[in-house]
Formats: sequence, structure tokens, C-alpha cells
Amino acid sequence: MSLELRAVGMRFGDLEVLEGLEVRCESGEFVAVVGPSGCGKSTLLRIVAGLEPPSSGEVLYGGAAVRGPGAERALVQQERALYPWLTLEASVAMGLELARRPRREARQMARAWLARVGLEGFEGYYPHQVSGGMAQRAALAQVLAVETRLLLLDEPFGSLDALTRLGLQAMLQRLWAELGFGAVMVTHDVEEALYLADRVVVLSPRPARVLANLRVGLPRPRGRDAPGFVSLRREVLALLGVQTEAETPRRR
Amino acid sequence: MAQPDTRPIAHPSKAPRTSRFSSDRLGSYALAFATLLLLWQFAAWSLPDFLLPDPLKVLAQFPDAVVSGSFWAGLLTSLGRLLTALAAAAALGLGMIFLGAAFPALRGYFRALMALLQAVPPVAWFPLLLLWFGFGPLPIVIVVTLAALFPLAIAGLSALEGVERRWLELARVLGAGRRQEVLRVYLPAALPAVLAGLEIGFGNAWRALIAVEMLAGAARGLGGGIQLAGQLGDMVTVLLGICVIGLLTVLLDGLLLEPLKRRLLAWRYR
Repeated sequence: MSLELRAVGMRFGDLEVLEGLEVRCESGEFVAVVGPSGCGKSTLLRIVAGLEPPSSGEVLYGGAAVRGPGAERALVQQERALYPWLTLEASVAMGLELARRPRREARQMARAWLARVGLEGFEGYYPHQVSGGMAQRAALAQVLAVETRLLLLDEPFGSLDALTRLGLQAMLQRLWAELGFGAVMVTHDVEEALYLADRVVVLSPRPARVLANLRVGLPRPRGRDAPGFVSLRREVLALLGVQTEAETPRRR
Repeated sequence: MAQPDTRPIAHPSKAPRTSRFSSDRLGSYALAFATLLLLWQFAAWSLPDFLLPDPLKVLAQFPDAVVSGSFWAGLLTSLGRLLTALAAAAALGLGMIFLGAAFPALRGYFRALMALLQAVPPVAWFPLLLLWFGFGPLPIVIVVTLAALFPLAIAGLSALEGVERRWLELARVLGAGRRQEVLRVYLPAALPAVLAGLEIGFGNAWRALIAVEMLAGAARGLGGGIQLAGQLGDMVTVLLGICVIGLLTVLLDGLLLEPLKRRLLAWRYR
């Protein structure tokens, strides 16, 4: 099912955050959204998730207007995306139990999902007992278990160290290829966007407008030092107003 | 791609604890107890026996008291009142917390109600209750119930207001409705505060119980026994009563409240 943002605007009092956003996301497509910090990227995701209504414009999912949150458009937050009082297994089972699956079946499925994200053996751990990367794996399993069709990722790996982040990006790519869900990922990491996404939407500073909508036509898995990758990165960074080394004047 | 972060990580500080009391805690308790005993002994040396008998003399009374029926009758009477009142307070408090979770509009109302009632020490209601219900156990149980109820209800209702928005949103994203939000987010999120409130309520209830039993005049229960002994100038029995109350508090806390906390808040102790 496709996602369509039609002239979506958002203001909080006098603060205009989003202005006339037009974004389309096909079924199963991976779209990354990059932009300067504080430009309203997270607000955009919250609107798509149905957690907040836009001030103007509308969000259509599968042709119908989004009216509230639901498991088919599941949001994963940057950190602390799990309940501290639930074990990893219970966390993943929660969505299944809410969908009225019998408890035993839900638990069994939860264990299978945890194994799928590389957390076999950690079913009985509480979130505070595992590393940040493991917690984010469990958070992903939690929403994938409810068979979400559009994964909304709000800087999901933003608080992880570089090495862990690379591992999780590869895992997300593998799951995306296997399961065929669509994804909208907000990130401030341009490389992450280019590594994962079919398209990268670049937003302007607040109030956010779409500056560019770039197709990343590179074959997967992508090498981060391939010429096509490097030139796209330079292009996105230039749109964001960052000069790369090649353009920085040399010191004499 | 390698997945470097799935190695189990060692948390020395979070190693599972199996013993109820860590030896540290037990040591502190022993030291504090010894200090009090020593202070008592020093004071007893400098005061005549009818003002303050020394600890050994009181302890010597202990075996006699244990075999006497009146000691047990008093103890059981007090314990019965305490547990009845605690159960009533828990039922009322949890009921309010549950309703407050289900209907946000009720939260502020219940809290205001509890805050207003809490402004009056529960014992002050006793003469009125005595007039209404006579010299039975009911006025005592009501006062003790009030004493336990306020901290429990106020802690729980405040915790409901502190529930993080992201936790509610996560439940909604996973498909929870209003009822499931209450059961799966509000109540577990409020549970630590509720248990802390219960602990404070328990302490309050004990104090109120002894005070009101001393007021009640009828020499029943631990408080009544102490009051009567005081009027007879029997300081040994007064001090024995005090020791029993202290001991019971520590025992009830260690055998009832701590295990309950560890069971319900397992995630905090791992």
C-alpha cells in the first residue's frame, strides 16, 4: 500500500514546522528523510504514524486518510522504545497479544522473531540488562511481529556506536528484502540514508519543505566507497549546506 | 555482515541477587540495633528502676510474656486490626487508582479528595467514629484504614500522571485500545509508586493503630496493653510492648512487604 502526503503542514502555535510537504512512498519502498536537526522530521513521522493530526493537508495510506495510530504503520523511536517492565519476549509478544493471539502462540512467535533479529537466548532479559543495540533489535522485532506494512523509523540507530550501527543497518536491509515492508526512516546520517534507501528526501531548515527527492539507483548491497555512493553523498551534503573535503579550500 | 553487539554484556552491578537481605543491609540493621540497646543501657544505669528498667530485666520478662495468654491475645487483636485495615486501604486505594487510570478526569478529583482528607491526622476522627460506632473494633479499623490509604492513593494517582507519553503511544501503535492502555501501560507504570505508597501506608497504619488503641481506653491490643501498664507504673511491660512493636514492624516488612515488592517489581531487581 502506498503512502501519500498531500500538502502536509504543521504548526505549533506561532511555530511553523512543516510547510506544504508532498511526499509519495510506494508499497514496499524504502524512503529516507534527511534534514537539519530541529527541522520537523520527527513530527513528520508522528503525523504519518497517526499520533498527531497535521494542521493542514492530509496523509493517505492505501488511499484512505490516516485517522489514528495502528499496527500497519508502526513507529520505532530512537531509544527507550521498550517497556522497562517487560522482558524482551513479553515486549515482542505484546503486539501479538493485543491482536488477540492466544498467549502461548504469541510467546512462541515472539521467540521466533527474537531469533530472527539475532537475540536468541535473550528472551528473558529486561531492556536495561541488554545493550542499546540489542534493545533496538528487540524494538524492531516488536513491530515486525505485528506484520507492520510501513515501518516508521525515527533515527532508530542514532544513539548507537558506529560499529553497532553498521550491523543493525545490514540487518534492517536483510529484513526489508525478506519481508517486503515499506519504510520511512528519519535520520541525520547521510551515509545510512544512502546505504538503505531507494529514495532520499532532503528537507530544508524549519519550516521544512522538500528540497530534493533523489533516487538512489545503486545496486544492493551498496559499498560506501563506490564512486556513485560518494557522489550522491556529496550531493546530499551540499543540499544540507555542508561542504565536503573535496570542496574545502586547501590551507597553504 | 558481522553483528558485533549480540555478545552478552557483563553487568557486575546488575548481577541477580538471590538473598532477601544483602549482608550489608543486615549489618547496618545490627549496628543500629546495638546502638539503641547501648543507649538504653546507659540511660538505665543513671535512672532508677521505676523510671527506666534496664534491657536485661525487660528481656527476662519476654519468656513469661510469650507463655501468657493475654500477651498473645493483645498481639493477635492488634495484628488482626492492622491487617483488616491494610486490606481495606489496599482495596479502596487500588480501586481509586484503577478508576483514575481508566478515567483521567477522575484522577485530579481523587487526588484533591485524598489531599484534603490527608490534612487531618486520622486519629483526630476517632472521637466522632467512637460516637457513631461505639466501642467495637470498627472505629479503630477505620482510623487505621485512613492512615494507610492516603499515601497509597496519592502515590498511585500521582504516578498515573507521570506516565510517559511515549509509553502510551507505543501501546497505541501496537494496537491497544483504551482498556488495554489501562491494563498494559498505566497500571504497570504506576506499580512501583503504588508499592512505595503501600510501604509508607503500612508505617502510618502501625503508628495510627497503637495511638488509637491507647486512646480507646479499653485495654485491648498492644497499644491498650502499653497504656494500661503505664497507668499502673509498670515500665517493664511498657518497654516490652515497645520492643514487640519494633520487632513486629521489622518482621512484617521483611516477610511481607519486601518479598511482595521483589515479586511484583522483578524487573527492577535484575
